[in-house]
Amino acid sequence: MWATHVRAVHRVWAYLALLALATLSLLLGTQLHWYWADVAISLSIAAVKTYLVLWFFMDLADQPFQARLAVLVAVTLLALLVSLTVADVATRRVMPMKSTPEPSEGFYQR
Amino acid sequence: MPAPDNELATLGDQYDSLETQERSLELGMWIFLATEILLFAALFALYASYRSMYLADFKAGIEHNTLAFGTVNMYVLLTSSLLAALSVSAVRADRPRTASWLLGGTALLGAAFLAIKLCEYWRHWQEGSLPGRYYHDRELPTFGANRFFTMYWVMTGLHALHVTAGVGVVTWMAVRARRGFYTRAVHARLVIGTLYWHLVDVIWIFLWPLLYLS
Repeated sequence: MWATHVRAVHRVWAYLALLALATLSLLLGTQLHWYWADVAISLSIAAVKTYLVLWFFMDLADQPFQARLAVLVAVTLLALLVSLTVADVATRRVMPMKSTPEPSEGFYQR
Repeated sequence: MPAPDNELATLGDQYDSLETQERSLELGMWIFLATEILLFAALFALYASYRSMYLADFKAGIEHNTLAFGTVNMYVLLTSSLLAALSVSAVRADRPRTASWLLGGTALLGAAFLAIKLCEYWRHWQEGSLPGRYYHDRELPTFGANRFFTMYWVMTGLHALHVTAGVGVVTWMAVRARRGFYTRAVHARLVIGTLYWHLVDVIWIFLWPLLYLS
């Protein structure tokens, strides 16, 4: 009954790729410090890993159009929300509001 | 090994075939997963906002965080996801007992994830890296670090709740698979349970680099 394209061996190969990507992310994250670029690289690797999980573990390839649309809409809304939030914060004139606490607050040093 | 009293094979009044019923169950689960992504989206947006405001403090917080625990948990969850996916393949190959063992392994790895997470929380508790006004880590006495660890506790805490629910669901499915409830033709409930587990994995795929790596 089930028209499935993903076989067990595909899942194992995807798992090996996921392990390799996780290790790559770990090495880049701990060895390289490229300021803002390192988070972009590690999130890009995370996006590739997510694609592998969706396609080879969650069988998104075998799902009808509506299921793929649900995923697409959720991911688009997530990207919109995060990018607009960052754009808002990054373009404000006075941020952060309270980066230097009052001396009376004692514990905090910056 | 189909169970003669398998209520999962009962056709609902609103469906004209078991296949339609199975597909509807799966579609419903995908829509539920989309709402779960939106739940975490708010936290990711808040994290991005605070990180933009306190970038240096967030970097310091990440370097101060327990990378080893987070990394081991990354590999644990990836392995558990593989076992869950293979359990679906096993049922589709008419091997429900194999599926049961694979689901049992998934649940065990989920429990291992939670145990490691508890060790990690205990260490943060001792350091004083606690959320909100309870924060008193002397090594990082900054507002930004306080914000970082508040986000850390909220995001990993919500994720751990999902893992806990997932372990329960997967254990229940393992028992059902052993009793022969899932067959080659009727196993949508197994699929939607494993979909939930994979979502837990996907969320950790993003939490790990944001909270431990960069």
